[in-house]
Formats: sequence, C-alpha cells, structure tokens
Amino acid sequence: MALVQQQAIEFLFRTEDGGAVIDAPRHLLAALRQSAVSTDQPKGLVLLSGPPSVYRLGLCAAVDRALAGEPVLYLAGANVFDPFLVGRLARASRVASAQVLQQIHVSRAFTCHQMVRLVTDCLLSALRTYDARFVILAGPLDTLYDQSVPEPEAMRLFRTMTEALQDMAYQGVQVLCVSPLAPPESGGRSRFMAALRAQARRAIDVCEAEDGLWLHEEGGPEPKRWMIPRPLWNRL
Amino acid sequence: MVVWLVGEDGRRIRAIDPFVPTCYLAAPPSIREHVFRLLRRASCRISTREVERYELGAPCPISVLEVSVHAPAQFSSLTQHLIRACPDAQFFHVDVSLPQRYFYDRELFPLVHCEADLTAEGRIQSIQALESPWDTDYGFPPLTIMELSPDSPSPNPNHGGHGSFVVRMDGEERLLEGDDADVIQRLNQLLVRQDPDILLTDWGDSYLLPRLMIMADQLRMPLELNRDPHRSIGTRKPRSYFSYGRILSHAGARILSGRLHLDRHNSFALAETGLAGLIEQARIAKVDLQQMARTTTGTGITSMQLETACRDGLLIPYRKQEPEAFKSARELLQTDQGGLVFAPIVGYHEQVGELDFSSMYPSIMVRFNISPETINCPCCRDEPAARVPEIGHHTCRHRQGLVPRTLAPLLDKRVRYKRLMAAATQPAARAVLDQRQTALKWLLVVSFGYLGYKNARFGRIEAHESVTAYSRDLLLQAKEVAERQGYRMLHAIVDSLWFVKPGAVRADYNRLAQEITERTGLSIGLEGLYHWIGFLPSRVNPLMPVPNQFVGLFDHGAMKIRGIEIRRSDAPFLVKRAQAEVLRCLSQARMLAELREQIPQALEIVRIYRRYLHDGHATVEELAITKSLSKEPQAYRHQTLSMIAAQELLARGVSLQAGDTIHYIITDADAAYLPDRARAVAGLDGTWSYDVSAYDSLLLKAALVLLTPLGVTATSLNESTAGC
Repeated sequence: MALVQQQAIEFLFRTEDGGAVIDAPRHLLAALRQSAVSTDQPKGLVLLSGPPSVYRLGLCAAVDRALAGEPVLYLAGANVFDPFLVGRLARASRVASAQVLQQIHVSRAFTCHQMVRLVTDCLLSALRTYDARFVILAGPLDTLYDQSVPEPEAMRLFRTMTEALQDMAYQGVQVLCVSPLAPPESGGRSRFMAALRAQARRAIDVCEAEDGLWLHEEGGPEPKRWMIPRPLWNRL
Repeated sequence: MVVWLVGEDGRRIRAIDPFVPTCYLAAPPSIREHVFRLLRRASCRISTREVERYELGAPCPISVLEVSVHAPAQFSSLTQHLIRACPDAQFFHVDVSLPQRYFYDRELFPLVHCEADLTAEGRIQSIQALESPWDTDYGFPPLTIMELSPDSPSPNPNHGGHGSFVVRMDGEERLLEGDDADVIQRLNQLLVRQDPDILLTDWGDSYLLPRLMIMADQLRMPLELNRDPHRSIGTRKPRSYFSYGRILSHAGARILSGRLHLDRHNSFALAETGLAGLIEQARIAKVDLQQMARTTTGTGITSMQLETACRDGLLIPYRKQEPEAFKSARELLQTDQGGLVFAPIVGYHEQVGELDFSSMYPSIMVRFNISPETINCPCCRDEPAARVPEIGHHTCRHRQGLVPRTLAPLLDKRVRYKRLMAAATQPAARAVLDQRQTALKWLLVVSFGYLGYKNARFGRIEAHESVTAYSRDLLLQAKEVAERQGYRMLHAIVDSLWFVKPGAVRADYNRLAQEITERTGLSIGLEGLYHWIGFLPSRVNPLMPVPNQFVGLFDHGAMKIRGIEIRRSDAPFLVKRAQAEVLRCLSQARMLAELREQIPQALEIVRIYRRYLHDGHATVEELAITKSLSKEPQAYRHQTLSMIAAQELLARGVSLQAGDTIHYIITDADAAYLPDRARAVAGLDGTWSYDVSAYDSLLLKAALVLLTPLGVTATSLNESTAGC
C-alpha cells in the first residue's frame, strides 16, 4: 500500500547517540509498525504506555494498518478517537481520507462497564463481522479510574477484561493497548497498569523529551530505544 | 420512611410510613442459591418472589428475583453486599435513592398538598396527593425561613476574613457575637424558639455549619440545627466534577433532618431559578428539596426518566453497560457533528430579526421519538420516514420511547407557564412564573446532554447523534424558507437565526416564523426585532467572526448581549461597568448612521475610566478578578496569576480543589518576584496597590471589541482616550 512520500514525515529512528537502531523504518507509520505493532512477530497483547500523546501513536498504528488495506477495530475508552488526525495521515500518504476512515471501525465506551462489555461480549463478533485481526484498545484503564465505581468492582471488571484479552491473544488476534499513565488520584487503581504490563507480550514505554518522543522497550534479548523527533511529532 | 408533614393546624408532624423498597436480580440458579443463602443471614425481614419484568427496549420479559427489604435503612448496605458477593448477577433498581423510590411508589412529591391518615403513634395508614406535579396554579407552602450568614467582608469566608454570624427572620436581624459558647447558645435559643422550616444560609455547606459543628463539638454543647432529634446532621465531602467541558467544585453538603438546609452559595438551582424554581424542579423531578438544591439538573431529569420506567414496570439497570455499536470512522465523522453554526457576518447591521426554535432539542426528541430504545429498532429499519437525516440511524415509528414520554409533559407545562406569564398582571406573580418556567427550561436543556452523558441511565450516543442530525436539517430548512422569501441570513447557531430584509417589519418576521413552523413541524418564534445588532470580531484577528458574540438593541429598548466582558464572570467589575456605559451610550442610536455619531461620546467614557484608574481611585471590589481553578492547584505547571493567588491562599492554610473560585487583584503583572504579581482578595490588608497598566489594557480591550466594527482601531482608541 502507499507509503508516505512527503519529506516532512520522513525520519529515522535514532539511538541516544544518533545511530539508527532499526533498519527498515523510513517514516513514522512504518517505524511504528516495526516498533510497537510488529506484524512479523507472534500475536498477542502489546502495551504502549506513557503521556497522553500515546493516543496519537495508537492512531498512527491504526492508520498504518488501514493503509495496508487491513480492517482495524478501535475501542475508544476515553473518547480519544480523532478522525481528523486519521485524515491528515491518510492525505500525507496520498490516499483518500475516506478510504482509510472506512477501514477503521470504532466503538466508544464511556464507562468501565461499557468497556468491559465491549471487550467481553462485542469484540469477537465484530472481529468476525469486519474480518479483522487487529484491535486497538485506547484508554481501557481510563474508565476504570472513575471514582464513582467502587475499587473492588473496578478490580473485578479489570480482571474480566484482561482475561478476555488474553483469550483473544491465544486465538491469534493482535491487540495494541494504548494507555496513559495512571493519574495521581487513582490510588489503588494505579496497580492496573502494572498488571496489564505483566500480561503484555511487549511493553513499550513512551516519554516526552525536548528533542522528541522516546519509545523504550525492556525485555527481549536487549532493551530497545527509539526516538521520534519533536519537529515531526509536532506536525502530526 | 420518615415523612414530615405540616398539619392544617400548623403543627409539624414527624410521621413514619412503612415503605418496603425492592430490588431485582437476574442470575442462573446456582447464583440464586447463593443469594438465598446470603439473604437468610440478613438481620432484617426479607421477602422474595419470582417475577417477570422487561428491560428497556427488550421484546420479551426476563425472569428476575424480586427482593423486598422490610427495613429501608438496610436496603443500601444489603444490596451492595449482594452486588459484591454475586458479581456475575445482573442487578436492577439497586441504586435509586430511597426518597425518590418512595415518591414514585406513593405517587407523591416534595411539598405536596396531601391527605394522610395517621395512628396515634404517627404511623401513616394512608397518604395520597391532593394535587398533581403538573399543576401550574399551586401555592407556596406555609414554611418559615431563617437566614444565617457570615458577617465577613471576604467574597468567600473559606478564604479568610472570619467574622461573626448574622441571623435574619421575620424582618429582624441579629448579630451573634461573643465567645463561641455564647454564639452556640444564642443560635440554639433562636432555633428552638423560632423553629424554622428552612435554614437558608450563605456558605452554610462549606463554612458556616462545619464551623458551628466544630465549635459545638469542642465545647461539648448540643447544636439544635436538626428538628428531628433522632438523626444526626448528614454530611457529604466536597468534590470536583466535569460538566459541559468545565471543571466545577461542589462544596459538599450539610443535610438536616426535619428541617431544610439550603445554601445560596452551593446551589445551581437556587441561584438560577430562585426558591420558586427549586421547588418546581423538586416537585416534578420527585427529588427531595435538599438534594435537588445541591445536585446537578441532570439528576432531576434522570429521576423523571426513572419514574417513567418504574411506572411502566421496566427494570432499572444497576450500571449502564450497553456500549456504542461499531461504526466506521467515516460514519463516526458524519454522525458525531453537533449543532450547525453559520459564522456571523462581522459588523453592525440594522433592522434585524432573530428567530429562535422553542426548546429545540427536547422538541426534536418528542417529535421524532428519539430515545435509547427507539433508535435503530428492528421494526422500522426499512421505513424511509423513520430515517434520521444525513446519518444512517432510524427511529421507531410504532412505539413511543421512554425519553419522549418523559419530556412531552415537561414541554407542555413550560408552554402553559409562558402563557400564564404573558397574561399575568402582578409583577410578583409574573416573577414566580418566570422562575418556574426557567426551572423547567434547565431540565429541558440538560435532557439533551444526558442522552450522551456517560452515567445517564437511559442515555445512548446514537440517540444523541440523531438529535443533532435533525437539528442541522431543521436549521437548513429554516434558512431555505427565509432565503426563498428574500431574507438574508446573518448568523445562525444551532437553534437561533438572525435575518435581515430591507423594509421587513415585525409582522413580516412573524409570518416567516409561522411558515418555518409549518415547514419543520417545530415551533419557532420571533425572539425580537433589533434596531441594530453588532456581530463582534475576534480580538486576535478583527476580520474573523466569532459565533455567539454580539450586542443588539431591540426595538423595545432592551439589549441582548453575549460573549463579551459584561457577561463574563472573570472580568473586573470596573471593566464591566465601563463597557456597560459604552453600551448605554451606543443604545441612544436607532440607526447605523446614528451609531457612528455616538463614537466621540463612547470614547469620552473610556477616557474617564482610564483617568479614574490612573489616579488610583479604583477599589478592591472594582478590581477583583474571579477565576475558577481548572485543575487541582498542585497540578498547575505555569505560574499564572490565578495560580499565584491560589498559592497564597494555600500558604495560609486555605483548602482548595479543582473547580473552586478564587478572587485576586493584579498588583504588578511583570514583577520578577512572582508572588508580587497578584494578591488574593481575602488576604488583602492596607499594603497593596494595583497594576494600572494591566487594568488599563483590560479596559481598552473591552471597549475595542465594541468599537472596532465602527472603525476605531487599537491605536486610535489608545490615543484618543489617553488624556491622563
């Protein structure tokens, strides 16, 4: 499918000392494919966590797959789906926005009960309906931080949701879980992130620095680190 | 259930009604067995039975276990225990407040005129309403009111400036002074002697009652705030919450038993609609008055929907679980659009008519049957008439939905109040009717937002999207009708349109409204005819229009003003007053040519105010800037003026949370030492001065926004009004 040709969106991932870490990526979308949502690795849960800007990374991943003609399911837990960003990325790839928008199927959950119902009861049938193998779960924990839901109930819902996600991973579905860090007032619920990380096949931490956005992955044979330069990120 | 009654002889009676609340649960037999085991261990009488009930929109009933709790005080703890112990069961009717359930069950409402049979022990044998909540001609109940306020110069006593207490009743005012014991003793004497039904306070929830309770506790003295000696004072902690994109703070609550505590500074309903409006909302929403005063208007509309559900025998789910159906991002872009806005044509225009759809969104919900269970129903999928314009949804043509059933009487009652207002001859009666119709307006306003609100019990995002899709279509229809008749549209925003046509008079605009009503099926009326109206430009780019920022002079002499300093809570009073005077000066003009002739006088007003500022005459009250904290004070990264003032308050031990309002003065906006830039009003002593330049700049901006479309530039305004 079409690759980004515009100079503005071309960049190399660099290590801290400036060297290229991964050979293939020559633009943001492809870079994300290599880092966060690799297609050539076993299926499973990939966690992308960090500042709220991780939502934009998640959307980039969705667009990348949609550009490749693959249907994507996008479950928005914090009402963060931005169709205009999708349109911009599509146009940058010289593909009609409508074509990409048509490939991404969205459902928004505004409460943790809706999010859990979405994952446990609706997702499998949606995967069949749209013939999709790739799911983005954006902000699944945000709804669980809602203080109006008692903590034990939130814990139970979290367990139910992660069990369903693991089942899906065993069935060959790839799930990219995009989650900002727990807010300071989340109390005991801040443990959700650690629990999610423990269940993820890959966990990539994102942090913002002056020079750009750094992605860091522990585990595997050796830790990996990539950077998205600030000028490029700001243009998204 | 404890029910307080006022007898015909004026006696206040504490009665007990043996009310038995019920909840329902759906679960497989194994879980039900577990439930039975838990219920057998309960410390109060419980009865159960198998029944069939419908969920909203379900074609068939489901079998559920009805659990009746014969001790209402234990209902909440028991149901919460069941929910925790049986996470896989589905629960219904568990989290609706018991006073509301009682009102629904007995067909009563707060402050209802009723007939009750009591035993000698005060047990209610029977009770029935003698009036309907939909009546418009009900009287004000014979309740006595005692007012209690802090005697403090501070705009918020929580931020400093502690003083004594002022009590007002029957036109008399008393200052409670002396040591703490004297104050408590005198207040107790007054409460016992006067025995008021309503304690109306200023800052009662956050400051007065907590302070009195601490004083009484430290002195080990009783505090007779409650009329009911069996109950303690109910407390709720302060909290912050989001509403319509803004963070707001709630000062917590001090709830009394046998007496109503209403805090003027902690009640949206009381502030917006007065006591008459608050009572109106409580009556039709069936939410008790102290709760209604402190809760969001959305709780009122939710309660009305819950009552409709109870009346229809529908199950009320414990948590909303139904998520949005998957749609492509392209569909999402088409459906999730909100209301339609046509940017205004910047500048002043004369002989303009404004037409407003009456309660547009709720009227759409009723007329097009928009409700969670009627959207995308299986029965009307192929009916073209059921299709929502532009988007792929449809609504049911066969069964009226819960939301329209709830809203229809509300819309009807508001129309009746408006007719009564138009016919009222006494200003006092008219004012009460206005407060009541305003109370209904707020319920109608939030009914739309609640369709899409995450915690709305009967909300659904597709229903929300359908309302806005219809509104866009109707607005376009209105525009078409008008343009076909030679009108030019100057501005439109969701449900309001501004038109101009040379030579058109009131009768022409009324005819236009009539034709739009006939075409759209939704009532639209002439809000007014303007001598002139100015759609004001962006302050950043004078060529850019800004929706809903305008000033207009109606032909009856009143002005309509939106979006400028005079309407903003964060503008200093001095700036508002100056802007009001400029507007008064402009309002002398009837035509655009005359408006331009007023410019020299307007500039003179600005010059006088600037002189006043430069001469150092401005007072704290004139300069105070009021801002709401948009996040927790600790979460601010930048040292804004509000943050500097908040930090000053925090350093003095004041407790602040997101949504709290603070008041400050700009003392030296460019000071290198940050705390010198602004001072909190509550901490001001004699050692302060204001930043003339900062306030001068605010003053000039407020004048410039009005005068730019008349050809005045920033430079010419500054030069022509300097003269200091």
